[in-house]
Amino acid sequence: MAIETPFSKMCALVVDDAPVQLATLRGQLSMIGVQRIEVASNPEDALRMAKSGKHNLVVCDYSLGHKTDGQQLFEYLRDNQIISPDCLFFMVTAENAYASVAAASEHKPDAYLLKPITASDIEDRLKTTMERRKAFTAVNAALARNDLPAALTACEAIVARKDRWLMQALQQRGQILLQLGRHADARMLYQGVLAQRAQLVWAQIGLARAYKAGGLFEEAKQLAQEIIDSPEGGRNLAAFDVLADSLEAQGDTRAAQWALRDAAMAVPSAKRQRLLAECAFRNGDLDVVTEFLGKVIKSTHGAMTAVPQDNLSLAQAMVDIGQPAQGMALLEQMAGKFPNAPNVESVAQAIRAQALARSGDAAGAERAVARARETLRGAKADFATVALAKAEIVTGNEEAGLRLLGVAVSSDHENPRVRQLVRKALRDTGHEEKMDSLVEAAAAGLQTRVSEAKVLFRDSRIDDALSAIEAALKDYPDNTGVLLQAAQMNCLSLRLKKQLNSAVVERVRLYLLRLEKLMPGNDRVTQMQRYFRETLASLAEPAEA
Amino acid sequence: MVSSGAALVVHDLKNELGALEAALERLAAQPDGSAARLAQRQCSALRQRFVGYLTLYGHGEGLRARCEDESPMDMLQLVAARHAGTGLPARVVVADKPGAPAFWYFDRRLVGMALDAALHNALRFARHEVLLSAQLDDGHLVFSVEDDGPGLDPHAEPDAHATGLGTTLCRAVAGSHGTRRQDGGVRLFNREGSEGRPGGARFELWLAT
Repeated sequence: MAIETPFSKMCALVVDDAPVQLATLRGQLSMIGVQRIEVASNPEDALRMAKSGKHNLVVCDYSLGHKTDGQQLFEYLRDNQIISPDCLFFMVTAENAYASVAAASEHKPDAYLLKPITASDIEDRLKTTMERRKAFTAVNAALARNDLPAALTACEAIVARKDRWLMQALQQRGQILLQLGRHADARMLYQGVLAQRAQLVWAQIGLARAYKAGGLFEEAKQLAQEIIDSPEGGRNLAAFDVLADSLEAQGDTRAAQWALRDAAMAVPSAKRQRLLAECAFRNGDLDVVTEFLGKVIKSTHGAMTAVPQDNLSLAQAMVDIGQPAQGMALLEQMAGKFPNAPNVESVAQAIRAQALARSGDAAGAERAVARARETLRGAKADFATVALAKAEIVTGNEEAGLRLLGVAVSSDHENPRVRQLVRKALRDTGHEEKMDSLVEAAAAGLQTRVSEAKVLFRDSRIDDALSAIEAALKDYPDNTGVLLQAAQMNCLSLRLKKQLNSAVVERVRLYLLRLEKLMPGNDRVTQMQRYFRETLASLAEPAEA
Repeated sequence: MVSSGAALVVHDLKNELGALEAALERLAAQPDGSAARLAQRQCSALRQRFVGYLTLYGHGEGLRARCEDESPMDMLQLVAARHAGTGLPARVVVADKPGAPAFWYFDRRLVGMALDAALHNALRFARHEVLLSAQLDDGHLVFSVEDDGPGLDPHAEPDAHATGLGTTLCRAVAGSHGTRRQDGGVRLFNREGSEGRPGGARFELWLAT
């Protein structure tokens, strides 16, 4: 007999590797009235079922006796938008594991259920989470359409009610302020909350992020370190990230690597080990790259979290430290495994060419580099272009290789990470002395064009200035420096002409989208987004009488 | 040697296991759906209490509260709902009076456990009703559980009214919330009777900010 309850219409997915627990959870969900319940005993099945998109609730055990744990499954489902934003995710953990699981999660599930679980626990959690959803309906709707100002207003309405959701509304408000680039307002909010309750971790993290966004790197570092040193902060990944980002922003990439290393040791997930390896690769610390990428590849082998770049980066590192045979073996292993990933085959050929050249097979190397050259699409500031450039140089096509590195730098000449990559490639191929001239040449060419546009602007030849900067962008579509400049100039033109020109507005929107993709979560991009919004707001206001 | 804590647990639960056994015996002789559901609830409540005791004694280092902002009134409603339909004669009422803060930082699981134990105890003495309430007092959130039973026996040991373990659990829960009150954040006393409202015992759980 089906009893009509608030949860009758839900469709639930239960994930647990223990059959008894699976049956128990299923029974409990049915006891509280959930009528459609599917079960999966491993992450792969869960993923396949979740792809149907029909679930409103996932109840998942943290430990799945598998390479992928519940947290990784959750992050994968959310990051890849396999489950809808409305779908609730409850994580089941053992009491003694809860603290470390909760502290180490980068995205929090909607609730943690501590074992042993009763039907009333699930019911209680469902009720509370649904009430919370209801209270935040307007906020979530605005966030879903990416309307941050509306989300902020909706949050403020909840804060003003001073009800049961006050603190959570403040937390959300802080996050939105940071996304809006209003770091000074966010800082004040978090400081206010901490004055009330000093040990609230979300407010401490928020404050550290606000410091970082405002360029107060020393304060950000100090607070992040305090969080890490606190009794339960040793696995707080957000704090490690603030620390690493602040150190990198200050130019101390070695120290940033140490912070990422500490995080990867505290939470040895593939994601964290990958972040560390990427940073170590840029720093040229190849022992760390081989150690940690080796671990990542081993732990993700055959799992859904495997990505081709791990093999490519490790193979490149192997070749760089003089182990071309191992590098090629790695490339062999991954052949055909990632048929849908773009450019993987070309990059593999470029690395193979380097390995063959180093093993003395000049003819084989020549063939491999030719194939890489033919298939690699569009040189830009990325790993693939640098790999091909190295292959060109070691197979004797020095000029072509250096030209590619030049393109890589000028594609994004202000980006320090790109410079690091290119510098490493030059060092590996015995051309480090060319770095300065390469960067200078790349920057100079661009700088001239940007300056020319600026001069035109200053001379009030606004349309000519915009054309000039558009032309520069056409040649360097991924250059974040030029994109920022173009966005700013277009905004300025809107302000000066006091007219909402829809073509210009659309253009800026496009630049900002591209920037967000190239530098996700970057503080400078956030600032430019804010400037754009303020520009639009100033034009939307009715003229003063 | 069995620790005194374990001995208390055994003592505390053996009577209830006995009652459950008797209920099952009756059911075996004469199956009855609603009686079976009652027995199942009884069993589930018993299991919950084992979990409570394990939480209390299962760790070497004592309780650690993981506080989130929670609604005290929701907490009371939840505790009352858990005890609805247990078949006991006294009803559980959540007082609808002002004074409870909209939210407070506490560990929902631990506080729920403590209130379950206190309510369970009050139901043993209540004649008609157990009243649950929450209010602010002296910078603390105070959860109260009042029964309309005979009240405390002034000649008995202080803990005799309560099952010893329940009180120990409540003290530990209050203590884990950082309260510095000398009595460990738990008070048990006779409430004043008035016309239309008989005396009885009042239990309070004090939680610091």
